[in-house]
Amino acid sequence: MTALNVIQIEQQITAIIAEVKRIPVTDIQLAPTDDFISKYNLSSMDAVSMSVKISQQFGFGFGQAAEDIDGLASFGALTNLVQKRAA
Amino acid sequence: MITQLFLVTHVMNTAVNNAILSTQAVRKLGAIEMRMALFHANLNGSTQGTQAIFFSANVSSEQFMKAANYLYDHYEALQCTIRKVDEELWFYRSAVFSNIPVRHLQLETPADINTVISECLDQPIDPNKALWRAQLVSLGHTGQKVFLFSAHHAIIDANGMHDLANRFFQILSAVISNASLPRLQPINFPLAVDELLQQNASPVVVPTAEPRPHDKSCPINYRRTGWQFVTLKQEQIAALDKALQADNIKLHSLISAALCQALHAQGVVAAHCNFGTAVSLRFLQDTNPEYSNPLGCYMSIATTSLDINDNLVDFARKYDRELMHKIFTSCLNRVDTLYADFEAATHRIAQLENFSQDAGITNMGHVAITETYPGIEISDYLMLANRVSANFSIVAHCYDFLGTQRIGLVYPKPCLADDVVARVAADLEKRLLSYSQR
Repeated sequence: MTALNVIQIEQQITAIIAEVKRIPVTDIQLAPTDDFISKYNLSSMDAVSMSVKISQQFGFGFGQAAEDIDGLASFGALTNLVQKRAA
Repeated sequence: MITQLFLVTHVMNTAVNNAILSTQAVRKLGAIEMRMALFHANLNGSTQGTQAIFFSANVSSEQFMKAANYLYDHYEALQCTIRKVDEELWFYRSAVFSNIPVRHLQLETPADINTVISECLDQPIDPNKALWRAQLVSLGHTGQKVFLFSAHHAIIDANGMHDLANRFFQILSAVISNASLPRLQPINFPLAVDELLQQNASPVVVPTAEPRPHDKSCPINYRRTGWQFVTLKQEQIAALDKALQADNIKLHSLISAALCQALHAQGVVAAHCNFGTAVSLRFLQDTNPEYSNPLGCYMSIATTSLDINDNLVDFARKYDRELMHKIFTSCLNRVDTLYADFEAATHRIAQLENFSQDAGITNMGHVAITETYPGIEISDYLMLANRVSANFSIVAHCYDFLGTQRIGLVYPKPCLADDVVARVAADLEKRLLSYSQR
């Protein structure tokens, strides 16, 4: 897989959140420090669904390591995790 | 004892009778379905679910039978049975409507409804004949009714129960209004969730904890399912939501953590315990519209191993993190189980005299059943499951409906004493209200 930069990862994650929440991608506005789960009222199963899509899109098994769960704490944490694991 | 209970009708109206279905194999049961089937077969109906929907309407026996028959025609899963072929279990399309227990009861003493619900819950469905049954119960002569629908867990989960209830009331409303029946697209037999899971994985090793012995030993055939409810009203839910928002915790995690604390405080589980969380895998159908089907058993159990912490907020966060990790590492992976292995495992559970899996929770969220239809008004809802296997001491059944949050504590009697559960319920309610009033 070609290495993605942070902006590309952010765009793809934003699209995944929009897909899971079934809202237009243009309605998603996130800063790195944002708790996206609270901001967009994602349920636990929304978060799992989103993470499955991340695994498929970026080609790594999200959640296999316990620290992966920390990636759900903020948009920036998730972007960093994806960048690190998908490398 | 039920007084003056009598059967109003048990005879099929020939006008709605079906041609006998040709026996035909549908598909082999998936791993989760097979587990449900063997729990059911070897543990006296364990895991079969019953929903009780209270409503007011003028409905005759014939109208009820007509609606139930139309429901049966609509869902292929309601036309199926389970058969053992060699060392495999298969769904067969061979359930004949006239052989399925669908009946109307007139209950002279409305308070006896709990006895009727109990019978629905604990009388095992015979999977050789059909995988469901239904009753309309008239409470006295007030127009108050209860629709009782019980089903084998191999074909349905909470999502399916709600879908089926909505369609039933839609049909019943048309029948009692003399309107034409709704044109419903047939719902084919669902795909096994296993087909949508990730690669095969090794069976998950359930973490160990010291299981608590039963309060009273009792052979499985003599056990009953008990239930007691903690009910939170709108203003209490509003206060709870406010505190949850401030702490950034989910309601599910708070209830689970408070339940573990209450169970430990009342001596039901040790400080280190196993806690099973039912996880809905329905979202896996989203990847392809052709998988979409409201029925089927699209669930898994995430078993977490918890050290109970006195700080409710910290404990709820820790539980949530542990749960998410378990979902990723176990629930989303396909595990093929051999029939013989699980057959033996369920027979072993029947002989145990301890709660080997401690406690658990199934959170159904909002009950998405429409409350009013022409001629019908729904007033209350109960969702229960047969728990006589006693692998769990208590399983909390959580859902909200009509602005009320229900936490049903469902347990095997007399393996767990009623008064112990009453103390757990009181303790749990106190913890939740105390948290909301900080």
